[in-house]
Amino acid sequence: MEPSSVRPADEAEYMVRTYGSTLFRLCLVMLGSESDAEDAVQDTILTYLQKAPSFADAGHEKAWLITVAANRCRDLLRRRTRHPQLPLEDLEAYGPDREECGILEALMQVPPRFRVVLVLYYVEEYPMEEIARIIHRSVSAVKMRLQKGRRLLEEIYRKEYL
Amino acid sequence: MEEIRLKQAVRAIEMPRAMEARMTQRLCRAARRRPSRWTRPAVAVLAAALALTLTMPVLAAHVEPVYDLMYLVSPAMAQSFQPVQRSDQDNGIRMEVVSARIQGDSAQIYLTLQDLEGDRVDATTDLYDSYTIRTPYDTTGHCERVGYDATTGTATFLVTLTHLEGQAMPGDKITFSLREFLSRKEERTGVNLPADLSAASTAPATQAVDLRGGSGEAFEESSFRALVPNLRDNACPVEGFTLTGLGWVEGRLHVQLLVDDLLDNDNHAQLYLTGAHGTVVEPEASYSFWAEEGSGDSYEEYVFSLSPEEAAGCRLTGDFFLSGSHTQGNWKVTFPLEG
Repeated sequence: MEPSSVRPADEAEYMVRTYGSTLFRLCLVMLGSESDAEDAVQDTILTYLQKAPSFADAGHEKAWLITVAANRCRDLLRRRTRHPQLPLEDLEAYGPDREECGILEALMQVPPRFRVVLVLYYVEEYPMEEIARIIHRSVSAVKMRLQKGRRLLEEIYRKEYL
Repeated sequence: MEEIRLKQAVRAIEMPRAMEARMTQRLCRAARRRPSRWTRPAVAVLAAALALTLTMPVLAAHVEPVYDLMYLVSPAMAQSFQPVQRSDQDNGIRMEVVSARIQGDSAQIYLTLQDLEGDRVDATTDLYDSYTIRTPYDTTGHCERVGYDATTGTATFLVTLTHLEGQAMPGDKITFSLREFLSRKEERTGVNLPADLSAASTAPATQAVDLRGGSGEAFEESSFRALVPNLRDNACPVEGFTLTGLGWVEGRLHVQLLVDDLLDNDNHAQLYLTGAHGTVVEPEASYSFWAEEGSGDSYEEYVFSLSPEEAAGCRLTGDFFLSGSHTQGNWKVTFPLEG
C-alpha cells in the first residue's frame, strides 16, 4: 500500500520533539533494547507522517501514536528469539537515578502483556477503557492484567531490590 | 507505593539528544521526498543517490530499492555497507546477498528473495527458523523482513550477527543458507469456535505427555496432564486446526487444539474465552506437545481458571495465524565479510 501523502519536514521535527520521549520510554521498557526502541519510535512517527491522520485534539493524537508504537513493539517481541535486558548502569544513562532503576529492572521482568498495561495505566495515566482500545482487549481483560501485573511487579521488586 | 516509584522512574526516561537529532534528520528527509513504492516506505536523499551513483556499479532493478531502504534507516550507516551482490538460484527463487558491514561485535547483512517464476515471495514472506549462518566463530543471529518491493516481487531481509563473546567481529567468509520460507501469511482474529463449554466432561481421561513447550503464569510442567482427545466433531472452522478435547481437570477448564503439519507451516493460534459482554478470559497456561513422533502435528492445550457456571456463559474464541504457502529449496551464498 502506498502512502497517500507525506507531511512537511517541519512536522517531523515537531513530532520527534513533542512525542519522542513519550514513545521512546514505552518502547524501551517494552523491548529492553535502545536500538529496537529507536526503530519502533521512528516507524511510528513515519507511519503518522505518511497516513496524515487528523485528530480532534492532542490527546487523541497521542493515543493514536501510542497504539501504533505498542503494536510495533508487540510485533517485534513476537519475532524475537532473544530477550535483551538492559543492565542497571545502561538504564541510568536515560535519566532515572540508581534507585529508580531498580523498579525499572523489575518492570522489565514482568511479561510484556502485563508490562504494557502497567505503563499505560501508571505512567501515561490512561483510564482502563482507553487502554482496552489501545491494546485491542476488553476492559475486564485490562483490569485483570493490571491486577496481575501489579502483583508480579511487587513480587519481583520486593524479592530482588528491597 | 511501587506505583508512584514506577511512574517517576519511567517518566525520568528521556530520548537521548543524539537519537532525537538523527531521527529528526531521517524523518525530515523522508518527509521532503516523494512517497516510494515500499511497504515500509523508503526514501533516499539526493546526496545518497549521488553517492551511490559515484560508488556503485549500475544496480539491478531488484537491488536498487534495497539501497533506498538502507538509506532511509540511516544514510551514514548505509554508506558503511560493502556491496556483495552474490546470489544463488533454486526452484525459481533467487536469493541474493546485497550488502554487508561489520560494526564492533556485530555484522549486518542485507539479502533479498525474489520469485522469478511466480508470486511465492510476497509482503508476508517469513524465513522463520529455516536459515543457517555459518561463521568460523560463535555468533548469535536473527533475521527480520524489512521491506517488500511489489514492482519486482522482492522481499528484503536484514540479518544481524553478534559475536557471542562480545569481541570485535573479525572479517571472514560467511555462508548464509536457506532451505524453505513461508508466505501468504494471514491473521484471522476473533474467530468463534462453536463448542458447548457447558457440556465439557467433568471427569475426562488424561494422559502424561512429553512437553515441547508452554507458557503462562500458571505453567507447571511437572504436574500437567493432557486430555485424551475426547471430541468427535471438529468445532474449529479454520482449516488446519481441529478442536480435539474439552474437559475439567482439577477445577480448571482444559481446551485442546490440534495443529496440522506445524513443522511445515508454522500455523499457530491463541484461544481465549469471550463472555456475554465482551469480557475476555485468557488461559492461565498453555502447553504444547507433539501428536506422534515424526508426524509434525502438534497439540496445544489451553488451561483456564474459572468456574463451570462462568464457562457456561462464555464462547470459545481464537486468533489464528496462518501461512498459505510453503516453498522449499536449497539456497546458499558464501561471501567475504570485510572488517
